[in-house]
Amino acid sequence: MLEKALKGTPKYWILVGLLLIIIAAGVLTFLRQLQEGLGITGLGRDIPWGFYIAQFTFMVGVAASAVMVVLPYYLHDFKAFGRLVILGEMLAVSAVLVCSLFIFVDMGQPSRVLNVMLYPTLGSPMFWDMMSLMGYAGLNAVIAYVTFGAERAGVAPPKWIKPIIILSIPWAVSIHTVTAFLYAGLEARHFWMTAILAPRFLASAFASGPSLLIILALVLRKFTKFDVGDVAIGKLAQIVTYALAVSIFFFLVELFTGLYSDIPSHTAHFEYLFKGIGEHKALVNWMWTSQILAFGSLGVLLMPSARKKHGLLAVVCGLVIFAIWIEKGLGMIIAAFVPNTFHRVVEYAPTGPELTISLGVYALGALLLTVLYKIAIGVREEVES
Amino acid sequence: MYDANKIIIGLAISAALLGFPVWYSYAVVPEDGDKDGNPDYQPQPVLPDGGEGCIESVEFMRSQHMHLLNEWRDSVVRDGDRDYVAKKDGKTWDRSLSRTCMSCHTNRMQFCNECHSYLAVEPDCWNCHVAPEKALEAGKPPQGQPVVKDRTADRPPQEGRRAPRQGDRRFAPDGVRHLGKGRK
Amino acid sequence: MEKDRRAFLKIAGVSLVGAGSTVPLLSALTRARASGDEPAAHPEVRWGMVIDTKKCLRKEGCTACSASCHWAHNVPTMPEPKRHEVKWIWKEQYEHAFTEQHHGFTNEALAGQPVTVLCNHCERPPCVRVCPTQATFKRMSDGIVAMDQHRCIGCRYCMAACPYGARSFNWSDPRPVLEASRSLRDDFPARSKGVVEKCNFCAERLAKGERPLCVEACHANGGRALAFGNLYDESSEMAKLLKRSHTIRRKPSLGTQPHVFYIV
Repeated sequence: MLEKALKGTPKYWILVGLLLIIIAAGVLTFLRQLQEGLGITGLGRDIPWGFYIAQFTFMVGVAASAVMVVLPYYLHDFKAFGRLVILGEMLAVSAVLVCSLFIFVDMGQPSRVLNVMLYPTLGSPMFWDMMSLMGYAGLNAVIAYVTFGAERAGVAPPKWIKPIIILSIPWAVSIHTVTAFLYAGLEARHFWMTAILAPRFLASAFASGPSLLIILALVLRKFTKFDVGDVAIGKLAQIVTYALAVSIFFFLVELFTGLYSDIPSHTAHFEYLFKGIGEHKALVNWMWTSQILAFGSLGVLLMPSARKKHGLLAVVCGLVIFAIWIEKGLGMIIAAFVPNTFHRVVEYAPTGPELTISLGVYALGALLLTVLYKIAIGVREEVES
Repeated sequence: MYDANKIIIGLAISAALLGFPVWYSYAVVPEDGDKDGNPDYQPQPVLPDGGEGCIESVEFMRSQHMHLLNEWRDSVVRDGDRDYVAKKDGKTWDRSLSRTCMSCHTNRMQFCNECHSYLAVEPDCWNCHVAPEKALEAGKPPQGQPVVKDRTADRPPQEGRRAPRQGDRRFAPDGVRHLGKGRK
Repeated sequence: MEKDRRAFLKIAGVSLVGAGSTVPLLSALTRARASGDEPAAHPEVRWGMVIDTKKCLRKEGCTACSASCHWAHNVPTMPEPKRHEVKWIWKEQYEHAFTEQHHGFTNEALAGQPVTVLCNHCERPPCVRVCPTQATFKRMSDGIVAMDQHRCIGCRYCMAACPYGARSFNWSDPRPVLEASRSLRDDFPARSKGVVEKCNFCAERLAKGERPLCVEACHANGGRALAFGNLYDESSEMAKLLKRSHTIRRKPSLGTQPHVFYIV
């Protein structure tokens, strides 16, 4: 199947070329980071986790969201997702690659990363995070390969793949839950000490992941002959709507507990995010933008007629992704460190090299996604001709 | 074979590139005594003269020294156990590269690096651990308080300095004077 | 032909992954359990420290403890930016050190005053709980929360988990800074970039029966504000001090059970 990725239109090669250039910039900057240390980022003693981990958190959500396609199709026989399912699985694989890379570039001693497996620490959520992500990547890769290979050969997939597919459903939920558990058990960070962190993560994942999938499906429909069908896109849009509603509700619930309890160590973080503390207001505009976009997008998505207009839908999905990206990355990760354990406000902003490396990582994921989708399209065309 | 010409030319170029480390050292004739590119060069580590010999036998050290150091590292850092009983003769030594090993093998460039460079092995110990010759002369301690006297200001590492005597189970680094009456 | 090549590649790939993972898996499984974390039935030794803030404040501007600690342990004084700071023991303003205790009517003696803070070597350390490689671990023989710099992967999870901000990360190589300030010592290692470090209760000195340097320096400088000893040794000076003085700890509600006590 791989040879399908080696033949393409000029537009395809331009896309690949652009991504390679961005990847090269990211790699070179990462080499600089290896040489000089993580000091070239904006991280510091008070904010040890920043942009990289924020991107990791967001992309784990995107990876987990494949379950929103797999579950209806394989468990409930929702045939309309027939063409969409392979796109979802391939997106999951690419997203897991991006996640792993973000962790890798965030490490002070990346050459020692295998220590996590050589000295397994069953009490550490980070160990389980690594295991579950690797397992999930493996599961999805096997599922995509077997089901797609079977389809290309024109036969039904082998029976043994069914339990593996069923396994991938709770596994998808688990990868994002374990990511939330990285944060939710730390008594040092009151902002994260909330049971609703994992449900919040999942809800926002199920809103942002399928949004991305909708955009990708619409892009494929525009540039290739691969059409997932209006029913599939419509159902995905419904899923985004429900998930977004739940995600917003969870946020409001968090807001209530945090603010009504009036405990300074809890309220301070919300205050920093939405009002600023003293002179420190770096995230205020971002957070209000995120909330306005989220509420606004929900309002639009609640109208079935709006969901049917694919041009509008694409824009709204983009806004949903942006809103959740802000909320998860800045609003959930960075916010926990401001104020710090000394109740001082130290602000954070990513530096140029940090952003370049991040872009390079995203470009690498995008390249993998491009190649995988190219294969999927090529095989599909072959099957249908 | 399809495209026979292209394939054969490609294979030839690959073979040349992959075999570069092998044929280069024969193609370039080195000067007498020149290390670089000389296929007949043998590493010549400078051995300490005098002394009772190493804590273990030469054969053991040649094959096991890294394993031994890793064992020492885990034992000292994780268990706090500094006592090493030599297999050779049951003597007890302090588990310390800098204090035990390097008290005899004082010059790591002439000893350790001889073989390491030849084999392109780069143990990264010295990224953190401070080789005796690297410590600069320490100036006055902060605030003029003679809290801990720095060893190198008093006594620079000496050639052929002996390892701790047998029975000297806890080899205290020189020059660490503790004020007050010690542990209370 | 094509089918055979595919099968060959598949088998080769699986074998590679299988062979590649067997050796480390086996060695990880047969490796002796990481020493130092056998739970002690009843601890005999738990090192602890009592800091008398009143005595400390009498010596205004004194930095003997941090100066001697950082001096002896090759802790670099990193240049700007401040967020790249590395410190093991330092003075923190009272309100920021005791976030659960201070109120708007703090007594004059303490309000806004500097208090010595360091790693608390907690009985239930969250940093040890979260470390994915056990690079930071609690020595059950004496309660010291120690660091194995060889194993640290620099993920900084421990820094996120520490409620006391006691840990520092090496954002760049400290060696040039140490060499430039002519303070590199050869009787203690430095650290490389990319690993976390913190106070180690002078484990290397305790092994020789000596007190930690901060305590020594405090006494040598006339402050006598730091006391150190075995919490469970009833006859030790420190245990007696704890019995007769009212002491508080930082962030007690979190349940970490710090071993650094403060007389305020």
